[in-house]
Amino acid sequence: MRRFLAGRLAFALALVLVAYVGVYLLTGLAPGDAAGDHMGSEATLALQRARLGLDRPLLERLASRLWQLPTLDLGTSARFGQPVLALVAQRAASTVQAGAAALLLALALGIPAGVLAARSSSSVVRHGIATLSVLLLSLPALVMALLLLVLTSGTGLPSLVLMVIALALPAAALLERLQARALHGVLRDPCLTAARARGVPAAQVTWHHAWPLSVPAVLGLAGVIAGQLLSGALAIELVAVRSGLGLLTFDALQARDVELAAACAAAVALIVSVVSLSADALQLWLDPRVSIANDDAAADGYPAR
Amino acid sequence: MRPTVRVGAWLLSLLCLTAAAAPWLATSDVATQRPDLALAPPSLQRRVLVNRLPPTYRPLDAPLPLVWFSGRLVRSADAAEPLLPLGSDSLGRDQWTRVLHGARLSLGLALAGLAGALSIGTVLGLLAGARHSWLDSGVMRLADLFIAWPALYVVLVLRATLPLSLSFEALFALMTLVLTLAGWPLVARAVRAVVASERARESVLAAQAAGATHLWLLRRHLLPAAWPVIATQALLLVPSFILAEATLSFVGLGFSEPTPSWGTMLTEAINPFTLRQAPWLLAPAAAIALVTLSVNLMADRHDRG
Repeated sequence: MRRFLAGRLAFALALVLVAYVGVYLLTGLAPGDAAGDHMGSEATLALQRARLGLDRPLLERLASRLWQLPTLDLGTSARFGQPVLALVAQRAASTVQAGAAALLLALALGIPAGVLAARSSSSVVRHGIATLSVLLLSLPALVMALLLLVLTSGTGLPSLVLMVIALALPAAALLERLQARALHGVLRDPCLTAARARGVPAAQVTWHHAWPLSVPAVLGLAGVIAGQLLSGALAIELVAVRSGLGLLTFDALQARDVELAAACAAAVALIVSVVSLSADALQLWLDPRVSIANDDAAADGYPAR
Repeated sequence: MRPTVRVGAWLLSLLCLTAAAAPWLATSDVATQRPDLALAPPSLQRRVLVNRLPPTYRPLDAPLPLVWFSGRLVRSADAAEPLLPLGSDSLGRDQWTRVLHGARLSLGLALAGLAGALSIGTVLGLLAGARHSWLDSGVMRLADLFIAWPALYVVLVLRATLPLSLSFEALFALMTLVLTLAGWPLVARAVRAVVASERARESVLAAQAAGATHLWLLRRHLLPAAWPVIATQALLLVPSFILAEATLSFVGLGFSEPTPSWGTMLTEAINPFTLRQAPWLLAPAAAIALVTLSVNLMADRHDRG
């Protein structure tokens, strides 16, 4: 178990490093640079390049940046003229805040709905939830945000609320699917038949016996969904006029702000890694058999987006 | 075949047929701007502009003179007052015609990206699954790195670091490349999982014992086993590709005006004030939702039961 988690941790660290280096090189090699946007003579351009340190070769810049990485010195953003670390931390906090709220909302809606869809005795409820979740899944977050924008324009709904709802509803529908499928998967378990034979009420069988069995299966993919929610959504940030990690990455890439773009990528990778690592750890704690069967579970499927 | 799957298949074929027949179904020209008809509502009546800002129209008692089957399915005989089945955008262009032509571009790009991602993913997945070698671990580590990142960031970084202003053909090829690069790891991983389990079956061992060559095994045993997985992956990738194109164009990194794609058209819908005046600007969002819905219905079979 410890070896499994150590492997995951190494992969997470590698991911962050690869994201940083990869985006650094890609942005650095891309046509144009951070000084290129300004109008001016060749001399001022050269001066600007020297001020931003762009006159040195890309690999040399990357090497010195990596050397300073342990001190968390990520350089200064050419686009915003602020320290990269503070900028990224601030935007990441805003993104994580909205993402966490959306995740909680999605879990609060999706999990009970999934259990109801799988176990309710009323076919109206089962089919209603299934239909609603297919419809919600078909409204990508970008479309959902635009739709909410029309419905709520003039009501003065805060942008945070709009963003949270737009992120949460499709995620809730996906979680409902996962939960219903997981519950279907465990229903034939002999321990549930035994509980029913002992005369345990149906509701208690569902919630006390069947649901805990289905949690590990949900958790495996819920980690991926959580990572997507918490790492920012460019289009929704644009619609909701609420700047987060997605918009900052976009700005940095457009301005060819190498240091900022790389730091944003690393921040995204860090968030995703932390989320998936904690989902793994939680899963392992709930069901220690996972570390053995893990390779099969990983190949099982992935969410639509 | 379950009824939902059939409905989804019908819906998707209908949408594809509509896109294919776009020049015949269109009611007007893609690029013609009519400033007098900015944000005009859908109407079968002649209308008169009452107020220029915001544009408000009053329907007149006279119906539009419609001509059927004259080169197009239906159009207005009076060139000054075109038939606008879905209203017009802020430049007075026919929204219905643009949604139709946008469908060709968005669906065409999704298909091109799909072809690339499926072929590369299948080949690499087959090769990786067929025998344990450096290729297996190398390809799968690379795929894991791609998958661990939120897909939209992969697309965003790849697109933003490539040249921005290009001719239409080069842009289409580039977007296809970006979608291919973002999509292949998912296909490769799913194919590899199936192939690796299939390879351990007795039938394959028997064929091997009978002297089957490596190529024969790939062609006659492993690839046929992988087809269902490839089909599922294709279904899952279509909506994410369409959404990726829409998001890229929406933020200005994809296709640009005056080429109509669903993403470029949605940029008009970002202003809440305009959107309240003209909710029909959301037509491309509805189109995206319809495609996603049809694909979700078709994929339903793999989800439940």
